[in-house]
Amino acid sequence: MTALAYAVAGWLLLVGLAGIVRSRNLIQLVVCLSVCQSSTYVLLLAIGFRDGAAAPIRSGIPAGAELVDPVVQAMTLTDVVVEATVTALLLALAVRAHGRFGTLDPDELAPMRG
Amino acid sequence: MTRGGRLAIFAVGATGLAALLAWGFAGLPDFGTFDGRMGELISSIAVPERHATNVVTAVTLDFRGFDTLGEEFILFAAAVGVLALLRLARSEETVAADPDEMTPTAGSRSVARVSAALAGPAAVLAIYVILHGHLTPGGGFQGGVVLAAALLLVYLAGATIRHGRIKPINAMELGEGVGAAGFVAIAIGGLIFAASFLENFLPLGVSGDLLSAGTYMPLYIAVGLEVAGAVLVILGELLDQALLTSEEDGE
Repeated sequence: MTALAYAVAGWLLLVGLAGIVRSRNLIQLVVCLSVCQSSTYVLLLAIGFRDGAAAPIRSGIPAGAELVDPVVQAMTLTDVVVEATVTALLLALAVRAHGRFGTLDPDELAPMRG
Repeated sequence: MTRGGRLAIFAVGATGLAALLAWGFAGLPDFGTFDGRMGELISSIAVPERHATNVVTAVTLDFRGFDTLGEEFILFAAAVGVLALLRLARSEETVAADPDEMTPTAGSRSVARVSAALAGPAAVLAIYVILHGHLTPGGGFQGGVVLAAALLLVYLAGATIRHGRIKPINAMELGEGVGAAGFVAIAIGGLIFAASFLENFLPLGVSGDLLSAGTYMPLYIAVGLEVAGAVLVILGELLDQALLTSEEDGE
């Protein structure tokens, strides 16, 4: 049971990668990439968790109470921002690819290049 | 390469990756027993030294403040990149979107009315989340996204993206720039009024008060403006593309 959070993180990464490999649509591919990236949120938050500790907000709890790790939570915030930027740029590139080649299927894009 | 062949190769690689992950996770501390010295230290000094009850904010804006500066500029660069990619695309279009034409954006009346009703509360929530970032969960990043959502609700309620002489996209770009510049200005303020870059030079106040924790609130206001601006610029450009495409399909 204690390994569940780590298992979920690993599963999200693998299932997202499988989606990317199987994808026939660039938009869907970008969504699969965000599934991969969400595995890092689960992993970071799972690592910082402490049994019985409070959320890292020092109000309404006794002074000196144990808190879950705030550093990994701040890292997760950075992670979310980076994911948003990557998704935005990839979607813009997908729009460009559609405008240039008239298709969103990555399999059809490849031979056109070569 | 055929799809089947590619999937077979992926299956081999994925099995190997799964094994590596399992090996790596086995070496991590057991769930719930993390011994993070740095996190413990920051948790214990955030209130006494910075008067910020939200410890994550203390990490984001202070102990890792320099990283957050970089993070803000990643977002800024991404918005500029999307603008560059998509405006270039638009200049290639033979039919340019008429900037003075009124185009209703919502096809459904119920969507328009629900959006109109929700826009105000969403904006208030956004301001609340941004201003209380040093006290309770929230802050500029989260609040900025809610603020962008509030403005998108206005758009869904039937306003136009380019309405007469007022061009909200310019206001979004301005908000984005002001937010990014504001963060740097406050950081340099630390250099002028205190000893170092990003140092907290404003009075710390009483822990738990709205006006406390010094520069955290102005920094998060800057972040909120930057995030809301960047999200709106990116979504605005992508929506513009969608409108262009649907116009072409309609003709």
